[in-house]
Amino acid sequence: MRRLVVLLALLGIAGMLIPTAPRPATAQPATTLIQGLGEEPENIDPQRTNRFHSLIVLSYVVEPLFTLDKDFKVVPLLAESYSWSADKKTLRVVLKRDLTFHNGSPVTSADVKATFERYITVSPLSSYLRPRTGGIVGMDTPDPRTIVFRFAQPKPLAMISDLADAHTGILPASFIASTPSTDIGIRALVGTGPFMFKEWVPGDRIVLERFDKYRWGPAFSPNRGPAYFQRMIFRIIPEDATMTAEVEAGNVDLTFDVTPAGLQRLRANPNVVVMQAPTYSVQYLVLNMERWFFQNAKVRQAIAHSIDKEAIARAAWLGVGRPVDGLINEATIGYWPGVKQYAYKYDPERAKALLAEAGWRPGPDGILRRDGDRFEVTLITFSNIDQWRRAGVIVQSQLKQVGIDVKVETAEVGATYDRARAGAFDIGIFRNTWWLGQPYLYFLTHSVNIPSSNFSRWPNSLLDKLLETAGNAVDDAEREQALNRVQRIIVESAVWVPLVSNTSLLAAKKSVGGLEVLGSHPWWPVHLRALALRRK
Amino acid sequence: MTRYIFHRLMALIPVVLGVTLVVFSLLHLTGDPVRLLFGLNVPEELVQQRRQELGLDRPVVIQYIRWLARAARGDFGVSITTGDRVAAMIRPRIGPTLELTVLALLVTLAVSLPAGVISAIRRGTVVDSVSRLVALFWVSMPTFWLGLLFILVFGVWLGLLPISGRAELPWSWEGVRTHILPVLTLGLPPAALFTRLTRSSMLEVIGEEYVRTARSKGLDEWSVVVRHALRNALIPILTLVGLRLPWLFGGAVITETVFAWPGMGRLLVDSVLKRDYPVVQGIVMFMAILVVLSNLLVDVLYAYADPRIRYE
Repeated sequence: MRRLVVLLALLGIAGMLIPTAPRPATAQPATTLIQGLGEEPENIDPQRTNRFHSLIVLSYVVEPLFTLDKDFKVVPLLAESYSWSADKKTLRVVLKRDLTFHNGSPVTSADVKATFERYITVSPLSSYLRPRTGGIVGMDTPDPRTIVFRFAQPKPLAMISDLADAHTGILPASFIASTPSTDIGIRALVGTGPFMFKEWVPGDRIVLERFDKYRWGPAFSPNRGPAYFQRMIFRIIPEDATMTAEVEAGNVDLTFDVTPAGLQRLRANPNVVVMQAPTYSVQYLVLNMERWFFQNAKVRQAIAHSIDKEAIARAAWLGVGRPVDGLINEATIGYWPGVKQYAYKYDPERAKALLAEAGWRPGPDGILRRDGDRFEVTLITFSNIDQWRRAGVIVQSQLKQVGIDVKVETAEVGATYDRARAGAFDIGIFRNTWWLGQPYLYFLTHSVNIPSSNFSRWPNSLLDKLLETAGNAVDDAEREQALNRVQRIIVESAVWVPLVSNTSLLAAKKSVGGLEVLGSHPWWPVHLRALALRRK
Repeated sequence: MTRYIFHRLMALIPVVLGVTLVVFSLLHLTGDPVRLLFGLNVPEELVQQRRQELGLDRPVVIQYIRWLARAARGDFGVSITTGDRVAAMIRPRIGPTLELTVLALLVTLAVSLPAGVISAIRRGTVVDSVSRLVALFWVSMPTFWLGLLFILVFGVWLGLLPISGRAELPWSWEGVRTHILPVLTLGLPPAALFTRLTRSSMLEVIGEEYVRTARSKGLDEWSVVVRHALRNALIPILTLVGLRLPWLFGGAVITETVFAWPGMGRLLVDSVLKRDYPVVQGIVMFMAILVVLSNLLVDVLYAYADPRIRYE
């Protein structure tokens, strides 16, 4: 009897080990696309979240009124047409005909109004349109397809900054009214997108189901709906090495969460396609202008000349970064290519000469001195992000070459920002990511943002005025001119030294079709992910 | 016995109070959840407003007392990051973690008891030396690394077993297969320790008079070893089980992250990283209760293993 039990147990174990065809953890039909998510979204409520991994999922389910084509031009999505008043204080939007929500009810201007009311109340991203900042003071719905936004001040960027952003994804007014706000995006989400929210198993997966009535994809998508895949499963896989293994084993069809280390393995795998695209994330260095030694422009220029951005891209970013010249890059709306000619090139000799001109002479230990002061500074950056910690060390060694002694002090993100706000640093290496140039540069360099997000502590009235013009001028050309000048002043000042932008990565199984369509658009927009991808 | 159990249960209260107080203070010292949640691009007034809504602008002591008062009524509050109720977030995570830890403990015992017993009765032979070497290998293996190694060998190279995740139906065939690697990762390393302990514990009793008596009565070897020797060698093993339980939960945190297992350990790590106090508090409290209860269970089992033990 005992032997029989042992035999059966052995047979059972052997059975478990019998290989089957490559399969996901749960067997799914071929019309399912499995995406790997490296971080679990906290919720997928378009209005409450501002996190990347939430956006990845929710933008399949809800849609804003407009979207952006590959040249950053606003194109209609739920909207059919729009018109501005001459003073840019009134925007009239007409919805497409026959739009329906996943619950079957038609999309009306009342739904748009209810969504924007929720957006300007709860979203952490809605500051541009909040009433307090001269934003929305009223919304009229003269008929079910027309919505009129009334702003207190001219809001020329409203369409691009808010109305084309998934965080203003339209929800049904009845859904907003009948669902507790904290259940939205956790237990339920209803929108107009190509996929419907079906199930969220916490810690494990989020399942979306195709919306068969979907027909209103943007004009740049070859398929305007419905999607080819019946089902989209987001598997949550927090460990990088596990994610790489799942892609290698063919259990995950597509993921954006590829680390530089995983990239080398996946590139070598013949069954995996790896794509790269620029991101608008910029790693930059900023000088604390309250320090007397940085007030001399020659010293700042010397620092800019001493930094080899190529070396940072190679050694800190392991090949997934590239040097940038401006504080915003070409993936950001409003980028001015002309900024290139003002960027300081890597030239340690020139740096040494500039420092000598500023009165700094090498001491016996090779470190510069002036009037008895030794040139020693503190550099702060994030301890918990490799690319920042490593960049800090590289800058340290590069500044050492020209005679500046840098002490690197790292702490986790929150603590580092607290220290930056308190001004307790000489040099900082930070990051920021925003796809829209004007508000981003305003945030980083306008004097009203000292010390909360402008860490330079350098008030500059010309810069302030240009930033305001770039945001408020009714005339498009005037705004553009102002923003170009802003970019030039920032780079020329050498108060900020832009370092490296990373590329976003995508790894997909060879059997996923439509990747070339996705790659034709600079940031792989969700509508191409939803509508163009198919099983080969 | 009943009185004893009641007293032990009463002891839960200071344990839970102590653990939650320590965790609460540590978390508050190390970062601001609202800043972490919103990032840098969000206006300061909104951050302040959210802090007020969550009561984070109050002194830490007041926050702790408020939390305690609510928890006593069974209300564990809402998560700072998701806005969801903490109890609702923890509930679906309990099953997967218990599955993993209980199965891992069974694997540990299923491997180590026979291995320890055989090592003891075949003391000094090749079998004993091999068992010692194998034990050394496992005991020096970090959970994290072992998990990744299993994934690489059985998931990627051989393609025999699923790499990560828990199947929709955990007790289906596919479900059983998804359990294998995480359970082995969590269960095998402690087996080494248990094997050594079982061996030494067995060696002690095997030399006893009653074992010789049992043999001379003409009992077969199985009865001698299992009924007479092993049963008497069980006490130290049970003690070790009790001591290892907190480790098991600790190991589950790592194993769940490596294998993308939707358990409490992962939720705990995520919540600590986001300084989501209410969720961390809820899980830590739940785990503390589990550990205390399972230690109590071990103590009660002593009485069954050795009828001479009485609790008054």
